[in-house]
Amino acid sequence: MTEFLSFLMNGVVLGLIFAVVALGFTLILGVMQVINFTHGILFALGAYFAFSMQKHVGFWLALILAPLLVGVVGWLLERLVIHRTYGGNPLFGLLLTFGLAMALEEVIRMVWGKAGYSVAAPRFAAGSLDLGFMIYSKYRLLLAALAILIILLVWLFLEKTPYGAIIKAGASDAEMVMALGKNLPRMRTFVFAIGSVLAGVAGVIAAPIWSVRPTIGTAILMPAFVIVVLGGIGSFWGSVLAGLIVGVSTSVSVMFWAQISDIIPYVIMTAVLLFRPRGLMGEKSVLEV
Amino acid sequence: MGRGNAWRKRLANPMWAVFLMFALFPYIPYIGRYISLGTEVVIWSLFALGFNILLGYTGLPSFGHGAFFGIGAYAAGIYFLRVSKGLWGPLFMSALIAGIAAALIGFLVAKKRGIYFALITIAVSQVFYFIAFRWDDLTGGETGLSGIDRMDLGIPGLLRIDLSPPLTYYYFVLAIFILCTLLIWRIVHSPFGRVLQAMRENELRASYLGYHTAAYKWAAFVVSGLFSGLAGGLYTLLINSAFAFVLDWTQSGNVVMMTLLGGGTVNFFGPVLGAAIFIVSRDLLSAYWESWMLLYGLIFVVVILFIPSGILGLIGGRKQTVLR
Amino acid sequence: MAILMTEGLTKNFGGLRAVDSLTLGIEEGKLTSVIGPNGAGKTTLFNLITGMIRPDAGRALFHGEDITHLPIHQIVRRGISRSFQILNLFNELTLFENVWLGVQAQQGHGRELLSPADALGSVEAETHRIIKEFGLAGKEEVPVKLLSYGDRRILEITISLTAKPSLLLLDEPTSGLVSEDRKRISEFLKKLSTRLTLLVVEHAMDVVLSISDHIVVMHQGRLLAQGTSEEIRANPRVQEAYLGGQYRLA
Repeated sequence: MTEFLSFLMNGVVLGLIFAVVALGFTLILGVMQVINFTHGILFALGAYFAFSMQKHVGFWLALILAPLLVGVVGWLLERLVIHRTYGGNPLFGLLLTFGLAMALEEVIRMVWGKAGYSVAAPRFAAGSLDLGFMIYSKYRLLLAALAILIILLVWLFLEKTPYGAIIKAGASDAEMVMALGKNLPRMRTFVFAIGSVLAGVAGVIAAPIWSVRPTIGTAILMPAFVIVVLGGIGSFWGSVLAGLIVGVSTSVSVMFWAQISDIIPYVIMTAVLLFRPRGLMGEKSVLEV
Repeated sequence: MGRGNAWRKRLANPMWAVFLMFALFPYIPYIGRYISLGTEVVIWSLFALGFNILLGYTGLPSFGHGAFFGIGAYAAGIYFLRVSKGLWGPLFMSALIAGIAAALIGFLVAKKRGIYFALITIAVSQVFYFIAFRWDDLTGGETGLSGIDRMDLGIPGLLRIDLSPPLTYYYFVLAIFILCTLLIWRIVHSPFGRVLQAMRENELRASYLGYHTAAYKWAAFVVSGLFSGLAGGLYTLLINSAFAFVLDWTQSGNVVMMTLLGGGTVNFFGPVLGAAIFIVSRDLLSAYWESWMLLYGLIFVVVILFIPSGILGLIGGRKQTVLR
Repeated sequence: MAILMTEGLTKNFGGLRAVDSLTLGIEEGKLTSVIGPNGAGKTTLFNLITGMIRPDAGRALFHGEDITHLPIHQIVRRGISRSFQILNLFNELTLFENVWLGVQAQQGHGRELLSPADALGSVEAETHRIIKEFGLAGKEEVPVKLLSYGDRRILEITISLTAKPSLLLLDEPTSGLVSEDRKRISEFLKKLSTRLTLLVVEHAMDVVLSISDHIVVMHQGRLLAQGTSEEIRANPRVQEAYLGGQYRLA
């Protein structure tokens, strides 16, 4: 039972990380209609930046600075190249970011090397905590709390700010954004940067529980795809829910039948697609037309 | 049009130049010394031509097509090792099983289009990667399958050709490539092929003319999957083994890139040119520079930003209707 | 005898009732016009009848058969075709290819994978016949995007007819045309109405009043009135709905 509980908790923690990554991904997808293959790399950069910074500035400052730095990288990528693919064939944005991701993964290898690093949890969160019904890693609890906090912040941003209103309306429509007095190119850059920060911060908090290696970017990207399809494109709570489903089902299935744990999320996704082609909480999307 | 004229038109088809070039391929310096690279080019050309039925002719951006190549690769290997050691059996199975897989996935995606189509094809194709990676008993898991030999090509009582020398296998693959190219040419220029192009231009109007567009998309997906699977089977026989990496999603990206690079959206032979340039330059790059992936990734960026209609699009004017 | 019946057809978009329990019968062999101010639900009605969108309530019967939940292509094959207000053509293809695709759909060759498309003599002959009939001959090889707007309007109707419908829905067939072309289309519609049943959404009142056998007036998704040109002209409720609107009933 306790074993099951710890698998379940691990799944929830994993699901929360997935959710944060997927939120950034679906934000970019929904507003720019770009399937952003660099999203995984931005996640990896978050982890690497944190790894390099923590020795000098400590956990908390790195938690703030590393994602911001990733946001700057995202901002640069968008301004320099990615914005040129908007409104074109959907494959262009996809292939462009696919190539960028490949190149950037190589850059990571050149800068940090091929080997993996392990990042230590901050001292105050090392060890375990007795929750009464189970003993659980302090850092994973902190991680879960941080992820929930981030998800809430994103929700507040979407619900309570004018930018959020436009993003929710799925404003790919230049006219509408102009009518609301916003500058569309600037808004897109901003959304891309926000999405990047989300990927980056997920990388930072996930670093201590995973080994940081050049391929973690790719490893996180596929779950993000699945989550977005499963939850429904552009749906906030759909992404969160699907993130948790993927995290928990992956983790719990390890306990029962480890071999198929990688496949479980895809099986769930396929089943959902058969009965709800738009995903769990997806509305009819502009992307389908 | 007179009969003689029609024949002259047929002979003027660039197809013959492509076939002739491939026939002389092994005698080109560098590649000539390295036959299996040439074979790989021909195999990927077939894959890309099959893929382009979907991308170039139907306008559907599948980003999971590596799955069918990989399924074909494994189907050939598994059939060879488990069922019957032969030449045609594994190849037939590679097309068949990939076609069945495409038929199943086709149901999930036939009503989608645009970026949503791309996203779902990526996600669904991943299932097969994990199956290959985890189902040890069937696929050999991480170690993959090996010992898949090329059996003799024979007409009973008449002749027997040993396909194990690379050069002989090259010409065998080329012969299959030529047959498939003729077939694909026929398909895209058939009434069916024209409906695909109509859907690419305007799917809604196509359905208002009375076409069952979802069924056509599904059929295009299956046809495309068959050829991709066969290419995978040929690849298994080339390297005498099958590994999970053939199902990696980067393979899907590669075939899209080849197709676009050569100009598959504007010319029937774009995918062939793209595959040739792509495979050869990747080989050259990786031989001389450890961090070749950096350059390789940047080439994607450059192609998309500056020559999105591909090399043949650049040479042959911006837009050519593939229809007539 | 009504060829098409709608019974309580209703469609909501968000809070808006685009079509509100509409019950309507379209007489066979007549030319019926649907008029009404912008946002009256005319195009939504067309979309509902042809299977492009699904109603929230009610149904549509064609020759007595319930077609409410059929997909577009099956409705087309049963004999309902339509043209669009915003031109909906294969813009990159030539005029010939546009018509050819329609004729092929009607003759049912789309499943042939291995025969050359150019060898379909009957499709080619019929395509040429139709192009000639609609006065578009000589422009066969012109890509549609390069045709004049008037020609594209004609083509929009032409390819809707390739399906050989018994009921044709035309959504603002004269939209954006100068008066000469409008006259051309009016004549054309009159001629057409001797062959099949037409249901026309139209804003140009001169066209409507001159061609219609029957007029249906919609307002805010509902049926406001229906009758002959004279009856509609004399109807006070119609006058009221149009008062202050952009359209005058001449």
